[in-house]
Amino acid sequence: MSQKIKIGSYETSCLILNMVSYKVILMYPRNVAEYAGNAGWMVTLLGAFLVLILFLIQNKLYKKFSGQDILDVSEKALGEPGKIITGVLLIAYFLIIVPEILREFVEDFKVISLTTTPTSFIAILFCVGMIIGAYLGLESIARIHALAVPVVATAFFLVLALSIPKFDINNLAPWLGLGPKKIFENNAFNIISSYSEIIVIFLIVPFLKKKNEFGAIGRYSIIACGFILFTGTLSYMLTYQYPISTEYFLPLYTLSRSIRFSRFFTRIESAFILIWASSAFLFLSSGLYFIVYIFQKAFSLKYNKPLILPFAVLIFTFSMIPENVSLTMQIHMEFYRQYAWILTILLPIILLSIASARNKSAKNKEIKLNDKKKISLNKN
Amino acid sequence: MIRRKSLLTKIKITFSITMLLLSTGCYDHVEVDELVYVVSMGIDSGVNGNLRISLLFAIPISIGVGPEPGEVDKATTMITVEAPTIYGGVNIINTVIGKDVNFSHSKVIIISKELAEKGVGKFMNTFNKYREFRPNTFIGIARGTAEEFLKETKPVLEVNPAKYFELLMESYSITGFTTGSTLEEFYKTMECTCMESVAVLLDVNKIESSDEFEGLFKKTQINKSNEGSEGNHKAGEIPVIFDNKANGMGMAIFRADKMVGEMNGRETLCYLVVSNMLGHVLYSIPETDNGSISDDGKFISLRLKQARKSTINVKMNGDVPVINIKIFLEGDILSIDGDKNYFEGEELKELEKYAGEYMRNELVNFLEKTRSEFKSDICGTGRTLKRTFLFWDEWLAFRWSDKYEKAEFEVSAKVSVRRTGMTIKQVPAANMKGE
Repeated sequence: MSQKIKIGSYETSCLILNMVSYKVILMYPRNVAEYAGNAGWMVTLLGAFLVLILFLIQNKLYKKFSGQDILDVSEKALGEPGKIITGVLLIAYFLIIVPEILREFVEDFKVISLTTTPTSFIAILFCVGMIIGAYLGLESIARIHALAVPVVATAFFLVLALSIPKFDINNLAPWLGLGPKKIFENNAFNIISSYSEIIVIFLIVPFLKKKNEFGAIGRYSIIACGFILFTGTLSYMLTYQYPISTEYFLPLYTLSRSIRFSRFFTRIESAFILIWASSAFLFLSSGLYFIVYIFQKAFSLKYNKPLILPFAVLIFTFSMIPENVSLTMQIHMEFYRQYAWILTILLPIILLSIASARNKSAKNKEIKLNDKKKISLNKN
Repeated sequence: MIRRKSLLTKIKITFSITMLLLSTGCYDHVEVDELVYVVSMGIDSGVNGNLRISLLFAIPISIGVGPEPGEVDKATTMITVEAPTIYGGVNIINTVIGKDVNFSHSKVIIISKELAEKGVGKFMNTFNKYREFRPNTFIGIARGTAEEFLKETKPVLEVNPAKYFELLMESYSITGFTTGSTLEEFYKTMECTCMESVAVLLDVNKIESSDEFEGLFKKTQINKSNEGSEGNHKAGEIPVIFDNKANGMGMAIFRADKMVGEMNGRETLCYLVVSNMLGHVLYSIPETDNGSISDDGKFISLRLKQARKSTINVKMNGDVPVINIKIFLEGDILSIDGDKNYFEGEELKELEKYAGEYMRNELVNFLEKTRSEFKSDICGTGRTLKRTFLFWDEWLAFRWSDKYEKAEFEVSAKVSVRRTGMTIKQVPAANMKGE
């Protein structure tokens, strides 16, 4: 089945771009302002730079495993149990992040648009979109990304461009915000956790048309994601000075609400909701697809479609567990920001290193065995 | 196989239609006629610590449908209620009118001076939290009561009450006598560590005939340098007789969330110039006679606008901030009461120099008033100083608002007269006829 699916580099980049950058329309700019103060925009750039370096290390280690996904690599590194453990860990990661993001989108919708609609009803609407996306499969999801991401990105940059009259460079001062000590003391890993969804590149790779473009896709996607997160955060911080920048629930929505050109061009946020819903549907359907894909691969199942509905029900149920928005945000801060990088950035490096080492020792053994055989043949 | 395909298509179509119906919003559907739109809200202090909330509603059918003009008198209706909180009051109003009050089209929120002096922080938090209040809604301070202001508002020259309020609140860019204060800007400056808030000053004129003007002029505080100037008034004290008695002039000055004082129209103009908010202004200066202001009440009228953005630089001299402000205005001569020909050569330069010096004095008086009387950096001079700090904690510990009280001002103002209107020379008739 996986052999039939082929995805181009552009589609893959769009998918990664949305998977990582969706957070710029949620609370990312506000969160960065909270732990870095006025220096939030610099921290975003620093995060992109660090993740790029880590990816270059991953890419170097990965070269020997071209065309294999992270589960194949884990199998090579730690055998069948390793594959299952890695699969379970990654499913756990996605099963925390996808319901959390689903709930966050639902709550945001409730605050700004569907105020009286029950939370579960909005969540079900999102789940239906997720299920359809996952049923259509990775190829369709990637192609829809290729179509939607340029439109969403254009609308996003339009909102930022229209906010330019509200920018004030003084809002970025004092330049180093809360100071490097405070920023890195408790949040050193937050910075790279923001890019944790980059793990999907290690899941998509078997489906790539040109597998040798893995490195380039990763590099350009990280740079593009960094640019989007950076421009979104910078625009927000140029408009709202610290500490007001930590107050708003939906930073970019607030930014779009303040856009006004004369009496005729107002209420641009209506367009923003469309961008927002598109990005949410794309992220959630990709998330559900990757959960079922990992489960199928980790447990060596023949089909993954029967898993879609049960996992969708799980995602819906998990998303309804937090009692309120504050708890949802707490999950985000305590799990995602602190530990996501371990599973999505550090784990691939560890697995790739072990697999490389084992590969090397296996090759050495093979060479030694061949040498012995040659010697014994010569003796005979 | 074909039958299975057609069944799948039918399922897909049914599913899509069901989704379309669901996504139209069964829960959140709302008919426009079930809502009542607030054009303006007034908040006063009520009895027993309650708030007196006045809402001015739009009556769409009276505003006019299509090209048909509506009836000005019936375009709005007002309701006043007392409750401990704004939303408590709104709930009572919903009960009384049987419709859902909606603020998404409200144009201005008016808070009484009495409440503003106690602090507007809690109101700003209310407006900030609720999605129906838009960031671009204007905020004004009523010198009397907000209820009275709304009651006396009769937009005789504009059928649409929402547009009337918008035009009124945006007029600062062509008059220079009020300021543009929106909820968002007000909140941002209120929370800012380097700037303070201002809001338009609103009131109702009490005078009934032009005979009462003299009393008004006696009431108006006038300093010698701008004696007789047209902007030396505050809202409610403007020498004008008009069907609409509600008006705005000057601005309310805040320190943190509390109102600490008022400034008149002319001082508000200075604020707009320093803050780069001026569109253009019709500005009259008394004519001079050998360097001193003449007593014969002759004026030169100019249309001024900013030639360059004003620049603010702050340097610390020990514990004293030295604030350097450079202003560059340009304009046209509109009229000259006297006989002197200011249109070319030395006279033109003399006029430019005099206008610049006159403006400089007004700016210095204005800035000193913000420092000594109000202790409030409304022009945001602290923003440039903030740029010299690296860490937030250092900046907070610096306490700019305390430092501003000791500030010294170095102001330079340049006025450049670009055009002289339709004439390039003034030939006094009196000189030719020997009078």
